[in-house]
Amino acid sequence: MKKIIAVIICLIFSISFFSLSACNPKPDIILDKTKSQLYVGIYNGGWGRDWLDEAARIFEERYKDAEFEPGTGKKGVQVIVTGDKKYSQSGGLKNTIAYEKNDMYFSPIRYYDFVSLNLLLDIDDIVNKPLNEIVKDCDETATIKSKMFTEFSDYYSSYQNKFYAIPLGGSIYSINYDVDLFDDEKLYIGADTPVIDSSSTVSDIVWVGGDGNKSLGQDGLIGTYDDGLPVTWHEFKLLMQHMYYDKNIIPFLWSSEEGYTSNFLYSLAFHHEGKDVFDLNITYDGIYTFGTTPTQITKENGYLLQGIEGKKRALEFAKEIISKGYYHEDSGKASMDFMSAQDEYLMSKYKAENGQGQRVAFLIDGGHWHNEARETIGLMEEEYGNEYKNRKFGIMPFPRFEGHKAEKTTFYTSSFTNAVFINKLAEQKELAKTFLAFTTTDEILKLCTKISGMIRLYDYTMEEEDLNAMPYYYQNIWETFNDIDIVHYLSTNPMIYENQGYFEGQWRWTCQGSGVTSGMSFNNPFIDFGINKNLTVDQYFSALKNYYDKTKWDRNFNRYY
Amino acid sequence: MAEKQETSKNIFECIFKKIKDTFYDISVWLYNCFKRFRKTKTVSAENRSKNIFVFCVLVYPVTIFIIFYIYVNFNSILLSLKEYDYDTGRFNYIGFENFKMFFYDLRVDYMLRYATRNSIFLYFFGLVVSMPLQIMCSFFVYKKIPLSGVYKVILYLPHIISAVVMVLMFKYFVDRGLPSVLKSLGVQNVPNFFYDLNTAFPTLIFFNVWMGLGGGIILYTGVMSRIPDSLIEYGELEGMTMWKEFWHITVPLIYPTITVFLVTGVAGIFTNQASVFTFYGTEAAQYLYTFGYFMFTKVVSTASISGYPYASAAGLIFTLIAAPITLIARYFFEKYGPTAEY
Repeated sequence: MKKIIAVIICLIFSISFFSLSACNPKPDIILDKTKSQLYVGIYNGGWGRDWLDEAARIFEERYKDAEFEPGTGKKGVQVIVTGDKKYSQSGGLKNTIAYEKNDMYFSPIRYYDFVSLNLLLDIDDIVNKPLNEIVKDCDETATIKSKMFTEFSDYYSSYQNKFYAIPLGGSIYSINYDVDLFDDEKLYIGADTPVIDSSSTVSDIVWVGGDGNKSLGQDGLIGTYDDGLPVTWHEFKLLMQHMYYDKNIIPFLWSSEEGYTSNFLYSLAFHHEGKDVFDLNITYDGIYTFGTTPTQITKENGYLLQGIEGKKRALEFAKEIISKGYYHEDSGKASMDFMSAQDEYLMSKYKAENGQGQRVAFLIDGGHWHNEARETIGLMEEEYGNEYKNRKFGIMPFPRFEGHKAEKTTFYTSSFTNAVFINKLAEQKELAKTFLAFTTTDEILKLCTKISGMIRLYDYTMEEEDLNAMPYYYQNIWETFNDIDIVHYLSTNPMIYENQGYFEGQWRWTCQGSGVTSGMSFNNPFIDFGINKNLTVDQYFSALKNYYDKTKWDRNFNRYY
Repeated sequence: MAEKQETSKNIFECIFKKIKDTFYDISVWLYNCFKRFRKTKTVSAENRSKNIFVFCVLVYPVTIFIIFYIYVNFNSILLSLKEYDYDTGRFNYIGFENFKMFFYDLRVDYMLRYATRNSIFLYFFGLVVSMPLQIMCSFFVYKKIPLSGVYKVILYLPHIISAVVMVLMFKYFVDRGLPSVLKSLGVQNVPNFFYDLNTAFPTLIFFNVWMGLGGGIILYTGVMSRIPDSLIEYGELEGMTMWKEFWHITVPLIYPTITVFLVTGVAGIFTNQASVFTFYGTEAAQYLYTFGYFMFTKVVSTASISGYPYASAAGLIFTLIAAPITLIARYFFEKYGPTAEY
């Protein structure tokens, strides 16, 4: 009897143990044994997986007669896409990739972590080969490398001078605004507005609607995405004042995702300073002028960059919004997660029409928010008709502060860590390489942008027909990307990539008060100005400068110089 | 009619008996058939069987212990002496640099200062408030005060419901419900409970106390129910009040369980993240840090692999501090606490 019990116990444990290692990523999929299977994992975040599902469907159709496993009798391909948030750096993919079934991934990762751990397959051959030699029925003679933006090509080929991954795409943090609201409520600055200076008031501006004669905007060109939008910080303040007091509109709404607001303000800081100054934060080699004092920035004194003017401007921006109450009362509350904020933003029109609340003009979120909220948009369409489906939203450039230095509109992003790569232990290496190349053809790049709104980091153009089929917001993002500088922490400098979490995290706004603010700790300007009503911009700025001193800098980074 | 029913009943009984006998005959026949193959067990064979049984039962947990405790911890010790080299993808020995860095951070890093303060405070709050509350509530449930069963279910409910759901409910209640109530009562400047410097950590403590209450009640009532009724009845005959019963009988008799909680709580100072991650993700403010949360942010989320050796060193230092404190605490709790046997 004891033997039988022992055997049963062993069997139960063995079954439970071994069954875990044989997990199929998608058990509800019926495997077609007559075809070769390609398992693909995708981070199921803001952009979703719809575009990849569609790309997979086209790939299966195109390769229905191809043989990737000669001698097995298998013909055609079955692409099995699994979407999950665990397929990412934060999801611990670097620890689990060896046990995952997926042959390849579309996921946000720390590239240097993965590649140095030898987790990724060398794809140098396929990246340097013309696409028409890899992908069936493709007439593109360009290579993946030649299509890739140069800075990403340099980054992804920096390890052992080989490619182990290629970029996917990213979103920018800016002011998302309700175009319909601007159209209806006449919130654009008219072309007939006289020059606005610091003494101008709301009544000095000629406000126009969507069909009015709008001002040129920041780019100075007529007929572009920023027409009628405020250029200077003072204009922006007047716009918020006009909204809040004259139109009963709440200017801002944001979620409790602390990273969104931190990135937003960080983006604003470098919108003021420009790409060159951001590059100083990567290279630590150049001159920055603090006030009137030019200072050589090196790796030894990189902490001084906490004192750049752009950060102070970003703090001013946050302080103005908080101190004047230009925000939705639930903004940043713990219960207001990003989905709730998106819903609240979308529903504010309906609520205002029914006298249940006020409309909200701006949402602080990444460029992926529209795709993320498509379920709500769909529900609104069902409930309220096409008017809600065709709602127009856009991206507004940050206003320019006094002393604006950037040559181009500049945005910071943390989402360019999204990459496409093949698992070193993939069963279907060649098939995975072919699919990877396939997803970088113009056809799929366009498809991806069209379905998700994601801008892929490659050289491709969207036809007029494609653009018209996209939601207004996606069109706006596409247009915005045409002539901007984007800054990010993807760098080949070991000081950066070995400490990416630090620079993308606490370096932005975390510090400890000193002097009058001694004993206080700061983490996010929106939150901290909200909690400490007496906290001034200068106090926060001083705290940042004092907290990041030579001692701390040396302790963290002296091994790099 | 009754006679007819009696007859059919007898028929069924006969059939069942026949089937039963047939199976018995088959089993006897099978036994005789295979009898010659059966070995008579010797003493050593009996021992071997026992050993195989013990081995089969132990092999799984022992393997798990070796891999996930001994190997992992041994690897952590080695890791704490290394740094990650991105060029080679290997960890290289650098001596005690990670330990030095951690001790330096303990002195100057505000996050760790807050973590120290909060973690110790959490333990003592648990000791002074949370645990007595659990014991008192358990006692009332044990004494079957009116509606004690209902209280038990209500207080245990947070344990049955998913922690994520509870956090969500709590967020909505504290963020939206509570301020509305306070405003309607005329309270001005209702704080943002989750972010205000003065309310954020107390809010988390309240949540933890509330969540811990149900589990504590189940455990303590379980222990209390083992107290002999005769002891209580004797006390009652002597005119013992409920308070005296609690203080002189219940507490001494459940003291071994209390000791276990107190001792494990000491180790918990260095591991308890106090739901900070559940509420704030990876971006909690410094003043909410606990040691558990600090370690969490160093190894999970977007942490780079280069941070692992530092985290290992920190973990090892925590262990070196926690282990003697735990042993000393256990010694004192056992030596100076009330002793009673039943």
